[in-house]
Amino acid sequence: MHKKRWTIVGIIVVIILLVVGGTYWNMSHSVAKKVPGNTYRYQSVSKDKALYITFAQSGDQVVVNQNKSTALKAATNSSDFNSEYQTQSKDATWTYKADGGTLTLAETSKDNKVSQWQYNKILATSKKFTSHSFTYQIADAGQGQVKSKTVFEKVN
Amino acid sequence: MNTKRIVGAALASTILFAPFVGQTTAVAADSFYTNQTNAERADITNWVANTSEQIGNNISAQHINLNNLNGSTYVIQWGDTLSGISTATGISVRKLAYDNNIENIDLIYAGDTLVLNRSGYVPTGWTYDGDGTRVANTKVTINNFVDNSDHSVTINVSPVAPSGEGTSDDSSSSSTDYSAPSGSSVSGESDDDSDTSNDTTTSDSMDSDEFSDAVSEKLVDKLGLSEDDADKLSIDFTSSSDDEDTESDDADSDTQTVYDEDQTVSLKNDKLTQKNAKKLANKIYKQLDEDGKTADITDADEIEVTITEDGSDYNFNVTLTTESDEDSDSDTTDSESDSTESDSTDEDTTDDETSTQSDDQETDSQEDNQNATTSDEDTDTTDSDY
Repeated sequence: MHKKRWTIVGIIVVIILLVVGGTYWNMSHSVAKKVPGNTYRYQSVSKDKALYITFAQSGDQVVVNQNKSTALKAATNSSDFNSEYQTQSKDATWTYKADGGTLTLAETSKDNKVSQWQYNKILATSKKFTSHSFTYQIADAGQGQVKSKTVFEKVN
Repeated sequence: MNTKRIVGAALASTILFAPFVGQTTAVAADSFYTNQTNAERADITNWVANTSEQIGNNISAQHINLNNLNGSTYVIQWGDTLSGISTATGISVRKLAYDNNIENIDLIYAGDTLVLNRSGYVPTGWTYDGDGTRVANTKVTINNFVDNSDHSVTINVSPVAPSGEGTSDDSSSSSTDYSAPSGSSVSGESDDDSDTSNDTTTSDSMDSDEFSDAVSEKLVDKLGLSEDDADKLSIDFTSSSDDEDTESDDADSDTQTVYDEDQTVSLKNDKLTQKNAKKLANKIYKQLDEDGKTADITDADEIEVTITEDGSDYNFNVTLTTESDEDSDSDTTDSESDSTESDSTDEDTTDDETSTQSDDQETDSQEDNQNATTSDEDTDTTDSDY
C-alpha cells in the first residue's frame, strides 16, 4: 500500500517534469514559428525608444520602423507588406532569420555594409518573446554582446 | 543714468559668461557618449531612423524653439538623419549641410552639434554628397566583449550568411568594418568600455615602423616613463620579412643587455596590428617585471628594446645605456642607427666585455628561444587592459 502511494507520487512528479520541461523546450524553440506575419514592439535597453518590427508571412523580409502605423499596415496583407518593404529598401534592406531560440535582424545598407543584431536564448509565447542577451555587429560602429533582457511584444 | 548702469552691467555679464555658455554646449556634445553604456549604444533602436516627429521632440528637449531657429545649436541624437532633421526644422538639407560644412550628408555623428539657422543663403556652387537618409553614426567604437578572446563575436544565425559578410569569426577579413572611423574618438570619453573600444578600432595591419611605435608607446606607458623620458626608449623591431635587419644591435662601450639570452613571448598570431602591439608590450613588461628588471630599465639613460619576430613568437632583449664619465656620446647617439659600419668598428675597440656579451647573445638567441617562452594563457588575464 505504502509502495503504491510512492509509485503514484513518482509518476505524478515525472508527468509534471515532462509537462514543464516540454513547455519550456517548446517556448525556447518556437520563435521561428511564431513571428511570421506578426508585428512586435521592441523597447530599447534604456526604455526610452521603441521599434516596431513586422515579419513577412513567408521569406526572410522584415519591416523595421519607429512608426507603429507603418508597421501595422505592413502586417495587414502581403501586398501592403511588400509596399512598405519596398519603401524601406530605398534606404536599407532588412532581413531576419530565426532558428531554435535565436533570432537575428540584419540590415544591409546601400553600400553593402551589414549590421546584425542576434537575440539569444529566446523564450516565446503567443503574446511576446523575451531574449536574454543579444550579440551585435554594427558596421562602422562595433561588435560585442550585451547580457540584457529584451522583450518583443506582439501588437497586431 | 541708472538705466545706463544696468545696461552696462548686463553687457559686462554677457561678455563674462559668454565663454561658459559656449563651453557648456561643447561639453554637452562630448559628454553625449560618456553617460551611456555599450548596451544602450548598441541598441537596435539607435540604428533605425527616427521619425521627424521624434526629431522634433529631441530638438524641443534641448530647449530649442522650432519656430525661431537662428543659429541654435542642436546635439545630434541616435537615429537622427539629416533629412529627418530637415523635415523637423523646415531647413533644407542643403542649407543644413552648408551651415555645418557637411560634405557627405549621410555621414553625421551622434553627439556632434548642428547649427540650425533658417536665415541666410547657400551659394549656388555649393555641393554635397548623399541623400541624408542614413542614421547618425557613432564617434566611438561600441565594443563589449564577453570573453576578450579575439575581440570579435560570431553571429550564428544570420540571414545574410551566404554573402559571408559579418558572419564569420574572422570579422577582420570581412568587407564590413566593425569599428568607428578612426579619428572620430571623443575626448570626453571616460568609461571603461572606451578603453576597449579605442584599442580595437585599429585592427588593420600596420607596417613594422608603426608596429614598433605602438609597442614603444605602450611600453613607455607600462614602465611609467614620463613624457621627457619617453624619448630614451627605442624599439628595434625586426619582422620576419625584414631579413636585412636580423643583425643584433651593436653594443656601445657603456651599454649592457638585460638578459644574457633573448627572451621569447608568444602571441596568438603574427599580425602586425595595434592590438598585437599592445599585447606584445604587455607581455614584455610582464616578463621584465617578473624578473625584477624594471628598476634597472627605468634608471637607464637609453633603453633599446630589440624585438625579433619569429612567427607568432617574439624574441626580445633590452639594451641599457648608462652615462659614464668618459662617455663617448657619439656612440650612444648611434644606438638608433645600428647598422652603420662606423659603429661596429667603434664598439670593437672600446669595450670588449660588452661587445662579447652582445655577440654571445646574438648567436645564442635562436637556439635558446624555447627556454624562456611565455605561454599565451599566462597572460590572458591582461587582456582586460585592451
